[in-house]
Amino acid sequence: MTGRVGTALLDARRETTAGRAAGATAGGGGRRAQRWLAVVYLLPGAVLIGLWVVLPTAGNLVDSLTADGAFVGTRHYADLLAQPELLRAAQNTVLYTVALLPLTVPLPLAAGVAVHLRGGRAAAAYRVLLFAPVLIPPAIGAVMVQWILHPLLGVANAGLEALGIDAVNWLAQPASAFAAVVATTAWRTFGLSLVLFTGGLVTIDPGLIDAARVDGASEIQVARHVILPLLAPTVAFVTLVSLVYTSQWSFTAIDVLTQGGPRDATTNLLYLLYDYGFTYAQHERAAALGLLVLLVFGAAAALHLRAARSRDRT
Amino acid sequence: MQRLRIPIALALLAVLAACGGDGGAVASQSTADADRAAADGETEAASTAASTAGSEPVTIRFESYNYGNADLGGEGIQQLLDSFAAQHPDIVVEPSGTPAGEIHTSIAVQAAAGNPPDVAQISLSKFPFVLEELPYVPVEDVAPPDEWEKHIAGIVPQALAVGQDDGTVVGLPFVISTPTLFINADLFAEAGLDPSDPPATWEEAREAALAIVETGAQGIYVNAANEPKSDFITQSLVNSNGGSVLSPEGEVTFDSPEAIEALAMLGELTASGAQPPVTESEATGLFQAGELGMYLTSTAVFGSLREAAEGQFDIATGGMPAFGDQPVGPTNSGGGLFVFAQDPAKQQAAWELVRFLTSAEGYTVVTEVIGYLPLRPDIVDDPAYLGPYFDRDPRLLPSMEQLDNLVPYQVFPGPNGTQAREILQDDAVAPIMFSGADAETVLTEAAARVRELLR
Repeated sequence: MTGRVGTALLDARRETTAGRAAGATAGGGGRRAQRWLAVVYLLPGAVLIGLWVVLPTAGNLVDSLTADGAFVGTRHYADLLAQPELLRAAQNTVLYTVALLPLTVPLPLAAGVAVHLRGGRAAAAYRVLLFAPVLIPPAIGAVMVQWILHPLLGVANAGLEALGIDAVNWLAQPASAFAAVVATTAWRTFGLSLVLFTGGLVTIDPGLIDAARVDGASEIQVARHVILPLLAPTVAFVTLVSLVYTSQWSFTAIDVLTQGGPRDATTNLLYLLYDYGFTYAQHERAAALGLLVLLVFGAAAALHLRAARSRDRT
Repeated sequence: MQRLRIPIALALLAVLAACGGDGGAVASQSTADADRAAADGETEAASTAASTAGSEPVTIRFESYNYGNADLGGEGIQQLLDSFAAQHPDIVVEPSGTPAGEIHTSIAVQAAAGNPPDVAQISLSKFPFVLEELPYVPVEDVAPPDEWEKHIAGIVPQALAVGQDDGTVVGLPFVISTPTLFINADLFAEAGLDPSDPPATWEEAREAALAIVETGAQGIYVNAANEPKSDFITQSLVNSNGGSVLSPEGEVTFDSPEAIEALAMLGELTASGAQPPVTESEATGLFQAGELGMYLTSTAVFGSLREAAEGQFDIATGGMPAFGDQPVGPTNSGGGLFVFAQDPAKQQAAWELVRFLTSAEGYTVVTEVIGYLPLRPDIVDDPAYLGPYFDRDPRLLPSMEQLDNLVPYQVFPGPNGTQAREILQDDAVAPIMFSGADAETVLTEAAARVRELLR
């Protein structure tokens, strides 16, 4: 792509400087110029990635292996692994993934397919409604939930009291606080996944769906035997993104609603990383955890990509 | 190692810079407090400033957790900076605001990038962090010796002691408070109680709170599990029941029977309905709206509560209630001023700012506008300073009387000290207060973890 664009630009340039360039259009010179252009195009991205990703990661790696400038090997990693809050945060991270995955893949997939098969103007309206929460900034969405669950003034408790049930302090009890973080996160990720699935659905040839219907397939059979196989790459992508990003997506909800409490019931690995780095100012421990998180999520992403590729080949 | 953190620090600084709020300089703003400056001996500084007015002004950065807040804390700091600017045209102060719970880490990040603020207001509960992690210059070393002795004469010695390390004053106390019981006098009267006779014990406080709840309002809120994770009310409660958070030898003792009994009281208040299970900011909002009968919290919010209550209801005050007939042992919260400037000219300017903020004039504004306690006792009756204020409004006097019984604030030592304090607050105090957790169980578990961390 870059090569083609580069060639086109070169051609244009040659036309405007035809006279002067007459002797400089030999094949070798053109390829050199193309390579230079490729470098120029890549440079801004490479510099930004280097500055914001590679350099901090390298600095983080060094921090995790040194103390006061001296190399200490894996001491910070051993220290980190001995912290009981790490185990709780890791368990919660898995629990968040397990709780959020159905809400970010199968549910929006089912909703997306149903809306797609429904078709017409109603489908557009449904999509807008289901996507709308994504437009609400995460912190504001979390504050809204905070007020809904407010122990004295929230509508959640007003509903319970109307039913004659005692008010609940939702964010002070481990199970309900965890559920609140999951719901606040899923509320947004549902809409995001729906859009991705809709993007995949519109690439499916409507003729295939019509043909299946003509052959007498029910809507469920159309969904199962026509749409789902063709949508598999999108499903794989959304699953991968969900696996890798659920911790990040839940961060804002955790910070606004519970700050990881009560008693670490709602923290996760990224929130613990934030606590180590910014609340407790334990930089070496944070550096070690940052690298471990990168390795764990990187490995999960790599395994998932490999599985997806092998599925594609078969 | 600091050099290696620079890439991360640069990235963070960019974010902080974007979020830092108004960093505008205040050198040219005017003030109406020149009379006080004259009475305070600031004329000397002002005339020095005037004599150097022709030279290039020195610019220093001041980071504060009160600055920029949309409350009387922010207003008080702004007023002080305006006065300082009027008296020191040769010094330009660039202020910035960072929340109390984050200011120490904010400065650590800036220091890692080689650019810490020149002066910062940091919570005294973070004092060990300052000593171990931040490139401070002891304020005592920055001050010219003759000025230093003259300046600290008159500051409450107990307050001066909280910022000392090995006999050297590292930071000067700036804003200090003790737990105070704010009372909605109207709700008290409505419940058949006498606001001029505040509850003296926790038992009386609970009964009064339940009487207020009967009227449809909320009873009492003890701001122990607060948002900046400060444990000064936790410590005050434990001290008042004959316990302590740490022993004199530094052993963890907040799982002692005395501490358990003291903190279990918080859960009993909530369970009985005397205390609403809300956060600190919600409790403040409830009190300001006239919906909360009693609020035990820092005197720092007095100015804001007073302003909100004006024309709506009367506020009375009382000292911290006692456990039975035991003596009350309140400790202090608050912040000190620390210097990070390395350049001699900036150090001199930083000293001028610190000197002004902790002068009789500075402490007057801090008490009169914000509500912190005056740390120079001789200004309380002085007609040039707080005399007229206390004649008008004596409601901070019960808190000041508590200064006689002040128990030194105990700091969890070492690099894990901050985490230890947060474990006490998040894993024990908050669950006792809001989640119905058994005090003995959570305090025992939290103490075990804190012992591991401090080992």
